[in-house]
Amino acid sequence: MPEIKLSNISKHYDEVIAVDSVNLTVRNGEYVALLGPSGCGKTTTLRIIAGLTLPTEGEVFIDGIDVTYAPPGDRDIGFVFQHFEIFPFWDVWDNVGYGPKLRGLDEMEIEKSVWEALETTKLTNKVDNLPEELNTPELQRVGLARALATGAKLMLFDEALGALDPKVKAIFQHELRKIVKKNKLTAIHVTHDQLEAMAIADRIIVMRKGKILQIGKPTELYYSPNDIFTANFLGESNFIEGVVSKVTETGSEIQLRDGSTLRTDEKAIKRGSRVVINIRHELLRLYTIERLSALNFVPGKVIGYRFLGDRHSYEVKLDSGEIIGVKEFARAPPSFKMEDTVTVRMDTSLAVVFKYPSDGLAPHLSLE
Amino acid sequence: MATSSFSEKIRTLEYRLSNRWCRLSAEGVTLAFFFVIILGPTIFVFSAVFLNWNEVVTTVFNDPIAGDIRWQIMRTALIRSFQIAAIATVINIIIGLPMAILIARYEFKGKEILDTLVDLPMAVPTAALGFSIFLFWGSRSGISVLFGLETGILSRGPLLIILAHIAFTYPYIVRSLKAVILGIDKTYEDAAKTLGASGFTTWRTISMPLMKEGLIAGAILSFTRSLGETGATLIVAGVYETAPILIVSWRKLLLIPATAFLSMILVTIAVIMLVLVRIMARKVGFPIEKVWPRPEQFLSGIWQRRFRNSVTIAIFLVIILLPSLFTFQYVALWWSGSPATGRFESGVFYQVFLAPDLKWAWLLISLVTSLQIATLATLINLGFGLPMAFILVRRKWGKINGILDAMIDIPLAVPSSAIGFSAFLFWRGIINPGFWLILMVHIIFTYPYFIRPVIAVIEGIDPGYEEVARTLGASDLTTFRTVSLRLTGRGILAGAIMVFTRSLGETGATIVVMGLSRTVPVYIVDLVESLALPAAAFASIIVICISLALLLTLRYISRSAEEWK
Repeated sequence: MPEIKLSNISKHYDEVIAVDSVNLTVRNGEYVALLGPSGCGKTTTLRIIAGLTLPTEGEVFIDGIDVTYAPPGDRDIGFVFQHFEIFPFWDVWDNVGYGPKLRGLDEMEIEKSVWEALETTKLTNKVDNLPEELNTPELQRVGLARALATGAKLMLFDEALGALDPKVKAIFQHELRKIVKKNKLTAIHVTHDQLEAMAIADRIIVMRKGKILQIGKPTELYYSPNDIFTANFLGESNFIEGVVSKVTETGSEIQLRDGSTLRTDEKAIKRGSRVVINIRHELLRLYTIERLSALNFVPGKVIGYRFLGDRHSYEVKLDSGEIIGVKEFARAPPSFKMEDTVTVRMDTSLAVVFKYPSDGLAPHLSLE
Repeated sequence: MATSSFSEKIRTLEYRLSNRWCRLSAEGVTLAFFFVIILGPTIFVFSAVFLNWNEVVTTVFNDPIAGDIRWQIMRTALIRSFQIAAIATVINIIIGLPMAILIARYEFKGKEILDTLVDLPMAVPTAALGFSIFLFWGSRSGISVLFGLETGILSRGPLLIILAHIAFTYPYIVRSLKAVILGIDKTYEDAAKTLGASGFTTWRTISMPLMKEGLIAGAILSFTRSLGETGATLIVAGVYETAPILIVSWRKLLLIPATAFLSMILVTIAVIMLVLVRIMARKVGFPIEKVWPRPEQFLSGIWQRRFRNSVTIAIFLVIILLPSLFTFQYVALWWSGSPATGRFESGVFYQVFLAPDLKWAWLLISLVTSLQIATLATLINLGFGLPMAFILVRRKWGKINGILDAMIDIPLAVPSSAIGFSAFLFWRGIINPGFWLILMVHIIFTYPYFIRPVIAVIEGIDPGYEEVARTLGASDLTTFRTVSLRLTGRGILAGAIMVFTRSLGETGATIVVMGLSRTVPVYIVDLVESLALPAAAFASIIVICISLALLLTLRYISRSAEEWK
């Protein structure tokens, strides 16, 4: 039963630090997503777990055994590649059968494990096809079947759904999670797609610039991010600057740059300190009432609109010059048009207050 | 302002010329050049044989005095040539594959240098190379010194021929294998490893099938180069005759019909081989069905790999590099006199510069001829080969493209002395043996060496760039000049240097058509035949140095091309 532990793992390429002192434990039976922008070191981390890349420092443990320098074949893993890498000169059966064959199983056992893997991935009617005869989703299935047929209990997915169309991807997300859970596998899934990570994983590990920023359940990360980058990377967020004007026992009041005031539940801040309020697009609503001066109401003007099908997405410019996003359920056609003067009601119950970073907001909002 | 109006004029001119008729006539000229200058002379020997069939039968099969002795000689020479080419190729694959893996996949100090050294025998004129190898293995100042022998350890003959052929075809095998290995998508190997394959199993079952076609292409290149080689063979063969040498010596004896017949056989074999290979490359299989996890895991061990790499480098040093560069040691040793007797008159310096037969003057004249011919051949192939490469890649003529593409390779597969002889018959009465006929022949056999790399580069160009230029308002010719040429530039330069080096190093084709002119490789053969070894050695190191400089330039260009990408 696999439990993976990374202890102080770093990987340097000449001057570049791809992975920087990563510590991580993945529990047996867990489905974990490694999430981050491209170049954040998530794929390198996965390859280090697989043994395809050797770390510069640190140790990798699988089930408590140090496998840092063991070849991939000794780690009993299944790896699904972004572009699948189905061997072009073999048909589906031979591709899937390669792993069991390498384990020295006899004919009967090979046949049994290949067949089971093909059944799980719904490929039993493609047994004799060559890779060139298959479409992308089918190739994806072969890639998964090939990994499953080895009988490995640890699955490593490297952007495994990245090459699929959005609709197909949604179906595969469900299927992949079901297969992993049903076969009691442990899975580590690398992706840069925050929606995919939230949909598929028990826990998400957010990485940036080689470091782990936060680990937690999808809802934890979404509602209580402990970092501006994480808050920005998951979902759609506004970051509004302000100064704490009042702290009470039940919460605090924050004055925005245009003079309006927001009331939040945050208590652990000092009066007079500069803060950034992280409030998600869907927690805002627009009203036509002009210049309503009350708590949590901020005046502005509509300067942009996108129709998302199930939502209306507005861009609103506040009097301070800050531009924020507002998302509303599209139960009816949009009720606001460009240049409309509006008042934004901010529901701060789920807002998160961050200290204003000493190096400014921009480096924390950059998606690198 | 003047420059802008000048470039304006050029653009206007290009715009006017960018029409269908101009394009068709340019393509017509390009194709006509290919058929009349390149292909026609190469296969003209067929018509020469059939038109003079009776004479051929008489001289080859039914000579009043000699009977069918010439046919016997011819058959023997052909069989020998094939045996030598096959042996050299097989040995080269065995010693070249691990070297290709080493260069393509390992990172170590001195890798760049090793990579350049491996290419060295390709750039060196084979006559110089053959001479160097002869000095190393076959003379008493070579390796036999180590064993305290009075003579060389190998005498001229088949063994020495095979050693020479291994040396100059080695870079062809290693280069093509290296390119294929670098082209393999490494993630396939990663996939195999995650499935539990050891390093050796991964190579045998995954990488080898992926590099199959490249392996076969490299083997064919090496085989045909060996089959057609003259310069080195002339020097190391002694009385032993291979087919290309037979052409040279029969041509000297003016046995025209017999030479024509032999040339025709070589051309035919070359064409058949090219066709067969194109068909076979897909069908050959590798034993990849079974795996033996345990023994193969043993072979993948780090010490086993280190052992393999050391043996590879050792073989390269002893069989290829040292013999190829041995002339330098020889010239240094013999510079101011014979090391054995101390006689000043036997030394390189006296022989070349002071002896009454003025060898330095002959060397200078032949060097100038060599450089002139190489330059002209390069320029002409540049002018007519470049549009041909574009036609082959860009024009969609269906099957015609495939056929043209295969025909390009014919001069590559035909032994150059056969090409030379065929072209001699083709131009008889129009161009007499001498400088201009040498040039015509050099244009023919270097043609594929220019076109192949250029085609590869053009195929790699994203046509999107040209489309962008067109949508921005550039005419076809302006697009070609400002975008396409820019993108192919380095491929063109690489091809041009290949042509130059090949032309500089050619012996067989030159001997057949040279008349009274001399190029350096032929002069080296002359010197060796008249046993003027010190002078031959000096001439050799001169051409080796020129070729080495060209090779380094080529490597510099292709490396900066990689960085540029």
